Amino acid sequence: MFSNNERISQRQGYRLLFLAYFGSATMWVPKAVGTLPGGFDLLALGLGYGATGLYLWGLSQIQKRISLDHTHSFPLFMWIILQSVLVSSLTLFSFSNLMVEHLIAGEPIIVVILLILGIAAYGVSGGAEPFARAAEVLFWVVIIPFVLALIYSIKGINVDNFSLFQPVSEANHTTGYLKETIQRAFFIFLTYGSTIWMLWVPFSGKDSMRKASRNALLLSMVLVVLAYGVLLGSFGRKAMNEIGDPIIEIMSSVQITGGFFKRTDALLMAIWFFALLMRLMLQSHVAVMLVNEKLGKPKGTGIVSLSILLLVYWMYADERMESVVREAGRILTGPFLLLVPLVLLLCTGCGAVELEKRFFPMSLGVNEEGDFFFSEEQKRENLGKTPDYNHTKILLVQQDVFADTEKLDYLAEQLAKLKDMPWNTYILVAEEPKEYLDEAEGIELLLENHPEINPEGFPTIGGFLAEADNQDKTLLFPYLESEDDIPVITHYIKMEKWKERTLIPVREANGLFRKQGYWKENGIGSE
Amino acid sequence: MQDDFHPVSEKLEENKKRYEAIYENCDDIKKIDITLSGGRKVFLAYEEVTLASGNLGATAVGVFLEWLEKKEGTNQELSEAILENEGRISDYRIYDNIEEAAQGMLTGDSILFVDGVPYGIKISDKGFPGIGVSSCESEKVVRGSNEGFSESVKTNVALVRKRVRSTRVKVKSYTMGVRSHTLVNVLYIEDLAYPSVVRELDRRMKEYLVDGVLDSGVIEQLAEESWLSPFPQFQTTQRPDKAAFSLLEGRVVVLSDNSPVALILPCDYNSFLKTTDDYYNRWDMATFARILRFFSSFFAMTLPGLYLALTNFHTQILPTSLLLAFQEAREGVPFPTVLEVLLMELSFELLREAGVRLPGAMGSTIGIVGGLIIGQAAVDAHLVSPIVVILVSFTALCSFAIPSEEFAYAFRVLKFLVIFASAWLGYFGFLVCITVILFHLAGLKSFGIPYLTPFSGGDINGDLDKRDALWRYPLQKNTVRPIYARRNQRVRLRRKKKKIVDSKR
Repeated sequence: MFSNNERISQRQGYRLLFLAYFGSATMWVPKAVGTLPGGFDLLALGLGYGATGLYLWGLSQIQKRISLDHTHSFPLFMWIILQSVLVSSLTLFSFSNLMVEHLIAGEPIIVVILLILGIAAYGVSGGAEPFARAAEVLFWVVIIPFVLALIYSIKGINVDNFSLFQPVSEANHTTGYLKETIQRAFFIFLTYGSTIWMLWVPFSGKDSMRKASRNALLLSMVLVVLAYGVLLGSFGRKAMNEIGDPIIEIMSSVQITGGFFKRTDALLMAIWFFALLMRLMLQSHVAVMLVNEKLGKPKGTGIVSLSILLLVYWMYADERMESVVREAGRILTGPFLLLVPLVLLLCTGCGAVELEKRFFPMSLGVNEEGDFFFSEEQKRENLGKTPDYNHTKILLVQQDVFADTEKLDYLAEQLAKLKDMPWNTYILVAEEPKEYLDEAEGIELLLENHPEINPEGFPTIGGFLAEADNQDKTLLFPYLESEDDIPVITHYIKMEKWKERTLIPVREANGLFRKQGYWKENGIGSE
Repeated sequence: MQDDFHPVSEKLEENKKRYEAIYENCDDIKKIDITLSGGRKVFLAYEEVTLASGNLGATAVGVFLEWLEKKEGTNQELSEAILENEGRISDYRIYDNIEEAAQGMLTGDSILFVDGVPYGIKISDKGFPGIGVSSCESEKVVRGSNEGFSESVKTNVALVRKRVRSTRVKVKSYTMGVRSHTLVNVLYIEDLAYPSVVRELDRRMKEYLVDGVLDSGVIEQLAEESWLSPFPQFQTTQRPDKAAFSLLEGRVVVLSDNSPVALILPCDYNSFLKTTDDYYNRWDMATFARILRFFSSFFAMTLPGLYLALTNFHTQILPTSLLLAFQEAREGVPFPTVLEVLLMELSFELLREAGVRLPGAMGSTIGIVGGLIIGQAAVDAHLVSPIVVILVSFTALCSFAIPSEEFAYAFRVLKFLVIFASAWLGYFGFLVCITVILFHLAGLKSFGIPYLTPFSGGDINGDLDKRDALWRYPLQKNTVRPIYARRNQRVRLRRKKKKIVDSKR
């Protein structure tokens, strides 16, 4: 009576398109333009969004004059289907990689692909309206946490990272950067353009869809630019380029005040889960709809899902395409259809480790070779348990590591591999780190409640890794010694642009903290 | 299935013979021969206990017989007088064939055949026994009427009429059930409800031939669109005030004989979380309660799964002290966390079921026994951790906060899916499960109304439905009916126009 499952309102279209743009744009666009020097990144953003807006406008002008009747043009019909399947496969590929990397490490990728594809197929099989309704509901679930997380991350921004109008010394570099700028702008255009099509085909007669597309583009552009600013300010250009998914990494710095949640990065992954899922569904919906028109429901869902699955699988396997097709056909039509969930259930679920089989080291030591070690007491009490570094507070590094750049590089490499080590773990130096490993909470409090220095001034693993890439800052690592069996900061190791490291007294370090802006207003201070 | 109809004869003996043949071996059907003082013979048939016992004179049948005795004239004149109800019976009906007359008696009325009159006369009297109007036990409210529906559809219709005294309230009658011939009434307000909804309901009710309709639940299951969905597509109530309120919103109410449960349609997610005292209480109280119920509905389904995802996969989210407390609580527990949660959840479901089946005081005792003794004993024996006991109890409280039992059931069942998904793949599995449920809800409709209204598609009604969703606006601001009502009848509250008084007069 009221809804026929193929009619969506302007608001539903706007929110659906926004989610479809937002998820991928926040992930890909900042990384894409971040490699460009200051000024060129803004140019790339401007050109990219400008081209997208122009495309949208051009499409609307064409649509006003010519009916985009896909059913009477076979080449257009096939082109739309092929494009839809291709972009859907790319989205699914990125989506599944993201989930495995950040949410369920250790699970077979095929499980993730099938689950995501299964949800998407289920959502699309009911027509455009059901998943548009879901997008309408999820809009605030996505946007509010994201904006709050961005606001929270602002305090980690270092304005030195905004190197606007960085001078370029040679003319041909400018020409090279221009070419790269245009390439990046085109990438932005593709990120949006490939999805703009998706609501035009079924709803091309609707003025409301034009408005929805325009509003969605504007809002996503604003959020992407804001996100880019925060990422650039927090990580710096080079580090941002090295990090796999900087927008995800910055979420690990978000904490809910009050201490109820320590880190919210896993919870905030829901933002990209929903956004990328909407993108995948929007992209695949067109192909499903067109195939249904020709072959009847529900063949469209099955055929398109299968095509996407094959393509994605090919991307991972990269060999013997024929056997892959045969394998998928057998699975989908044979009795294994019923057994697959059971088989997957039995062969997966490896990511779960019971709480009592883990131990949570509060501190970790680094010996003179750059290798990690635990305290004897930790080893004794937790024999046979799996270490979970998610709650590690401090990293105590033997001072000889700082004497050798190679060892520092090695340490950075090892730290980058420890995926679950929080980036806000403090790094301190000592002659005998093992003496202080059991004092982790006290040392953490020493830094966080320092009477004169803001805790943001003390180096963390995140800052250390960023500096390993950027090599443009001065970091001051607290040096610990015992006074009456109590750990005290007696010196600092000053590391300038990764290369030079010197041991300096506290007074000199305080002056540097003051220069860097980490001095507390009411600190006692030094001259 | 239908027998041939035999017209009522003017000869009483023929009618009597056919009638007795229909009710052969039915010892509960009383068949009485009466000879009036003028010599006219009458045959009376009724179901035992449906006519007041003792002296017939005190009954409607007795009044009619008294009139019949005094009536003079030919058979023709008598027949016309009966047709014109000169006997002044308030509730009667004329049958021209034996079979329909026999069937008509089964509504709890009496059938009379008069010698020389080619009609059977149905006269209502005491009717079938049943529970009268009593208080509503299943839908308690803090403020508002305590009347509940009874098991007589006529009484129930009257209870609704009592509250909406409008000539626009229409009552359509159906007889459903090939053998039960259950009377079903469909109520709606003519200018508020969409005719298409009433037509669609009519179509669905006639779609099946069923043996018997012993409760409105049978109608609900046969008429719902998505029978695979765990979410109900009809709202139910035992409160006449709720039914009346629904009519005023433009919805349709179905009442079935022998059932104290009314069906209300269309419905959506939001309607299941509203109660009648939301409108009797002030807006701030109502808003607080609503928000509580919405969050309860979410947590009733997701809390155990979220706990599993966080403790088994994503410990970085929890504060260190809380995490260590969880770890310490689990020391010595032999089962994996997921099994622990499942055991406690299933135990709780068993307790709930046992509490419903056991009569009276025993039912409440089970709650105390289960909660205190079994729970405490299980913790002391290190079979489960105290954290899980608290978690399961809180989840149960959340499900109890949902006003509709059928709606709460959906969350209770889906909770297990979320548990399995979270135990298998952590937060990813949790998100997958929640997304599937969301898509299911997004595609669900009740007589054309999307289930997620007004959270989705609310702009159809100018987003005004959101004034009575997660929160309830003050009554003065809640001026429009929800989307169920016809478009040109949305306004339900406005200020009276002030009269301009000419001061010079």
